[in-house]
Amino acid sequence: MAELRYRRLQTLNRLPRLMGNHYLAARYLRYVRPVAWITSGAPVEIIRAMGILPVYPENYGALCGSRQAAGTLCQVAEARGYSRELCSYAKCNLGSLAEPRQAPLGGLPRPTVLVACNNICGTVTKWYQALARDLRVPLFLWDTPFSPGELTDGGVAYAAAQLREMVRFLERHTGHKLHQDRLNRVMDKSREASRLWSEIRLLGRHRPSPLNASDLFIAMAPIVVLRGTDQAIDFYRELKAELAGRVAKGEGALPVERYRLVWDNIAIWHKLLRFYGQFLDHRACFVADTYTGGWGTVMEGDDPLTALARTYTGVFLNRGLAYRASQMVELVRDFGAHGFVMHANRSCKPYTLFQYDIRRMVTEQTGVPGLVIEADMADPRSYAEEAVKTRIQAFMETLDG
Amino acid sequence: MNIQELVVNPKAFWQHTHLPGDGFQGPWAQPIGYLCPYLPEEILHAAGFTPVRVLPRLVPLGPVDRHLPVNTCTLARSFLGQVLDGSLDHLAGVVFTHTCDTMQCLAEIYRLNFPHRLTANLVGPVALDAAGSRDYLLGELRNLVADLEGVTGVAVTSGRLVESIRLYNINRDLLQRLEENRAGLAALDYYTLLHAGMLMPKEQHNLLLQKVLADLPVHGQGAPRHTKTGQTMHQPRLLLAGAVLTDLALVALVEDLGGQVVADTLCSGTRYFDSPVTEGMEDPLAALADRYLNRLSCPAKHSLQDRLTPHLVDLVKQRKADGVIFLLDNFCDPHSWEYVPQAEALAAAGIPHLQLQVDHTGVTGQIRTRVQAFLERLQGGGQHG
Repeated sequence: MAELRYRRLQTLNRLPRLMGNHYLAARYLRYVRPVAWITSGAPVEIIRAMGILPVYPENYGALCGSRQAAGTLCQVAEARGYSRELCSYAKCNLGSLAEPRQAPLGGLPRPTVLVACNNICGTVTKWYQALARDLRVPLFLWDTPFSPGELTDGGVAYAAAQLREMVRFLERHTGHKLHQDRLNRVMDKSREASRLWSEIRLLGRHRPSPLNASDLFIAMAPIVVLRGTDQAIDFYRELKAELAGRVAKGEGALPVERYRLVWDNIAIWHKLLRFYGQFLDHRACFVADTYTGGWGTVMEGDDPLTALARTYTGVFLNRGLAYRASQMVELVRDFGAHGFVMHANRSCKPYTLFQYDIRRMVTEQTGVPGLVIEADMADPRSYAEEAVKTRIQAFMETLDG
Repeated sequence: MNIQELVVNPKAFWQHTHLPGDGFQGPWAQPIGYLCPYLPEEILHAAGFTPVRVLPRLVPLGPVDRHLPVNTCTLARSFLGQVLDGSLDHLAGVVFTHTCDTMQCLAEIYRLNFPHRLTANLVGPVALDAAGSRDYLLGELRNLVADLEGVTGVAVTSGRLVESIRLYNINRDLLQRLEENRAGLAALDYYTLLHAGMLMPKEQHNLLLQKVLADLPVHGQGAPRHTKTGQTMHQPRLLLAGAVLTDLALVALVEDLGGQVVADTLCSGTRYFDSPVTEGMEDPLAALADRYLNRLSCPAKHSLQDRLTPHLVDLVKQRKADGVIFLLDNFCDPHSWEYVPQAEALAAAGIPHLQLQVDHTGVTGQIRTRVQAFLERLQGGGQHG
């Protein structure tokens, strides 16, 4: 078994308790504090500073995927008329509302408000509209304009204007106020967690790499869900120390690292160990990825709302093809990669639709080959085991060649 | 060339400048393409172009696979197919709008792969009534104007914009009148006229519409159909819902099988020409921005009050439709999402519906069978498709 040869990071053993506490807190504290369901790219700093409990349906979708519950929950949503082609995270969430007994954790604790930010996709707009209708809960959509090139002042000003409106919305529906000093404290913690996360990701540049992308996929939960808290900072300090220890000893994530690869797109949660294990068989380590970098940007600027607006509008999924390709090129060069693997994720159009062009551009600019694997982040029905295996085998042979 | 041929092959029309009808007044300004009607055509017109919409056509899609996965909507794949096979070579360029994730990616693929062609991108607001959305949109419209001026050297003055707005409002008004009298036309002829207007100069289309309207019986109901035994057939009255009509053969099929299309909420149907631009405002760009924000919205947009579902149910009642046919592209996420609340609202109101998955394969035997079964159900007074 490939996973038995894999060196597991001890710090990751803390995660089940850390994340379990998060879900448990939301389940019970909701009786005394308002709960907001929010998207992964929403400004959680404001939510936390206002004493509102953030809950992440996308994180829950990943959980459903890794616990092999996504196929069933998607089918529940599809029975209502939602297309098989729509986002599996969304359908896990909607399916869990209809059939909580089939849902991990019995579903998520009911929200007081919904906050969606469309910096990651247009799907969240429709998904959260559906939630607002079904749950009869008020929704705030934070509209962060797509940037084909550089961020525009007009786009940032528009995003910032809405943030002020968002605060009024949250105050109106929760009765909680936003205090500037508290927001500043939460933002400081958020910056610190993002800085640590960014430094951890950069450790993959060492040879051998002390971490594999599958470590990052597991370790990313706090930077998404607990951003702005002390727990996230403590966790990442400990993880960074463990990784630094590996670097000092010259110890890699893999016992033998022969190939270094870059990963693109969301993880295949339902096959996390099995899928990435196939690369371990070839002594190939994913030393970097594009996905987990989405939470590594450290906010800058004096005015908190403008800093938030600029940071969240500028996330990589909200940027153009050239930016995305240059990011991949940088990762391949900086991390000394021999190749890259792109997950053509059936659920995620903004991440996937221009991957073929990015693959061509990255190969032209770096000379390293890229492989595209078709799958889905949560729904196992879109995964053809044998076809994937054959493609990986063929790709690794080209690297061997 | 007649308008049927124009709809099938717009490039031939523009290459030979053979205009439909007998009112040739060209040469016309160079055509420039766009895909989404959230783009204010008036700006392109005032910049010295003839805006033409790139509608889906049946073209080879094999070369598209190098750029787009197969689970991409027909509109995007067909657009790229037309670019790659040279069908759009007659266009000065393409101006995109950020409507949905797919259009966002398509604009980028086009820009990066064809760097020497003229392209622009209007990234308007998704949240139509958000704080600052109007100011932001106005800024983006000004940027678009500046981009076009930089390319053409033609100043897009207020005067030119006012003239273009007037021309396009006349077109909207004529199309509205045509829609109100659609019973006098076969559905295929109605949608051919409508689509033709998106592909030819509005100056010419207005003349054509005036002529057609003059010949139409006002509020005509069309000739009733009869069975073989001479009895009058009940023609189920249908509303078509969805995005872009990917194949005109679909509407012909519905009427060939005995249905009557009495209304639609299609993006290439009524939603193309609803809501005129307010004339007489000091800043014509502000008037264009207001139409963008207040028109009957696309499912890809967000507003505090749902505009689409109540409109659909009201329209069914107003036109006394017996049922609704959803023409859905399997890979169009916004419309697939919107289908669920719309279907549930129709069910709550006791209005039957049929969902058809349509793509570049056009009218299949399965589609024919399902439409036929739905019509028989409506003729028999059944409920729900």
